[in-house]
Amino acid sequence: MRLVIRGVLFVVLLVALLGLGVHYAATYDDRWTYPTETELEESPEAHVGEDILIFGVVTDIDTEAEELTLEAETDDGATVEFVADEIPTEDETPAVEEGGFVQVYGTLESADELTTTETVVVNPDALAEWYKLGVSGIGVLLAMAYFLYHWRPTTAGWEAKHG
Amino acid sequence: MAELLSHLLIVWGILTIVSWRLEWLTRRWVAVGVIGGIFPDLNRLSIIVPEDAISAFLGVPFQLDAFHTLGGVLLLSGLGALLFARNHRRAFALLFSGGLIHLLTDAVKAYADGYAAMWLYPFTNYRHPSPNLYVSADPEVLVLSTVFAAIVFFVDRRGRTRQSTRTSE
Repeated sequence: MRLVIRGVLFVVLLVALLGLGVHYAATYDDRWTYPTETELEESPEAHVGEDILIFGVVTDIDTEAEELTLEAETDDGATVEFVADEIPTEDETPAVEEGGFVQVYGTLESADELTTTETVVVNPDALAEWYKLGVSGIGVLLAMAYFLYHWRPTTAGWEAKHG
Repeated sequence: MAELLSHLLIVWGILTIVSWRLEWLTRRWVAVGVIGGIFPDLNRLSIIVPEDAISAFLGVPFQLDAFHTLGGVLLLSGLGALLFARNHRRAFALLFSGGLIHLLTDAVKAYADGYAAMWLYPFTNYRHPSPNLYVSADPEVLVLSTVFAAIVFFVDRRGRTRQSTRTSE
C-alpha cells in the first residue's frame, strides 16, 4: 500500500476512534441498563425504587449495623455516597476492607441507601489495585520485548527482523 | 478486566496453539497478536492522560472506555496495521484477534447483576449473561494463565524439536 494512502487511512481511522470516544461518552447514560452515578447524584429521589448497579470504593464497614458504605465517582469527578445493607463475607469475616473496590447490585431505597441483592468484591483492599497495575506493567514490558525481538522500526513501518 | 499479564499470556497461548495448524502464523505474527491483546486496556491511559484533559482539548466529553469495546479494538487494530511496512491485512487480523481474545476473556468475569459489560458497542448495547468466573484481582487468574502458557510453551517446543529432527533426517 502506498505511503500516502496509508497516511490518509490512518487519519480517517484516528478521527473515527476519537469520534467513537465522543459518542461513547455522549450516549453512555442512555445505553446503560441502570441509572448512572451521575444521574443518581443529580436526582437521586427520581430513582428510588429502581434497581441500580454501583461501582465504588469502600469507605466504611459497620459490622454491628451490617452496613457497607461506598463512594462512587460521577462523570465530572464528583463523588456520591451510598450505604448498602450487606457486607460480603468470607469465613464469617468481611471479604473487603476500607479502600477496597466493590460492585453492589440492589434496589435504591432512599437517596443514598440501597437494599443489596448481590455484592462482588473486585479489590479486597487498596493494595489489590496496585497489584493489578504492577502485574499489568510487567505484562506490557514483556509484550513489547517479545514484539521488538521479532520486529524493527523502519521509515516504511515495522519490518520483520529475521528473514 | 483481569490484569494485563494474564490477558497477554492467554492471547499468546491461544495464538501459539492456532499456529500449530497455520503454517504462516509464525512467532513474529504471534507477537503482533500479543500487542493486539493490549488494545482494550488502553482505556487505562486515563491514569496518565486524564479524560478531562482530552475532553477539554476536543471541546466535547470523551471516554477512553470506548477502547475497551469491539468497535474500539477494530479501529485500534486498523491503526496498528497501517504502521507495518507490508502485510497490512495479516497485521490487522492478528492485532484484532489479540484484542478480541482479551474482550472475550473479560466477557466471563464477575458482575454483581450477572450480565457482562456492553463490550459489543457500538454494534449493540446488549449485555449477555456472564458466568461470573473471576474478578480481576484474583491471583488465581494469573496462576492459571501462567500454567496454561507454560503447558503451551513446552508442547510447542517439543513439537518444534521433533519437526527439526525430522527435517534433518
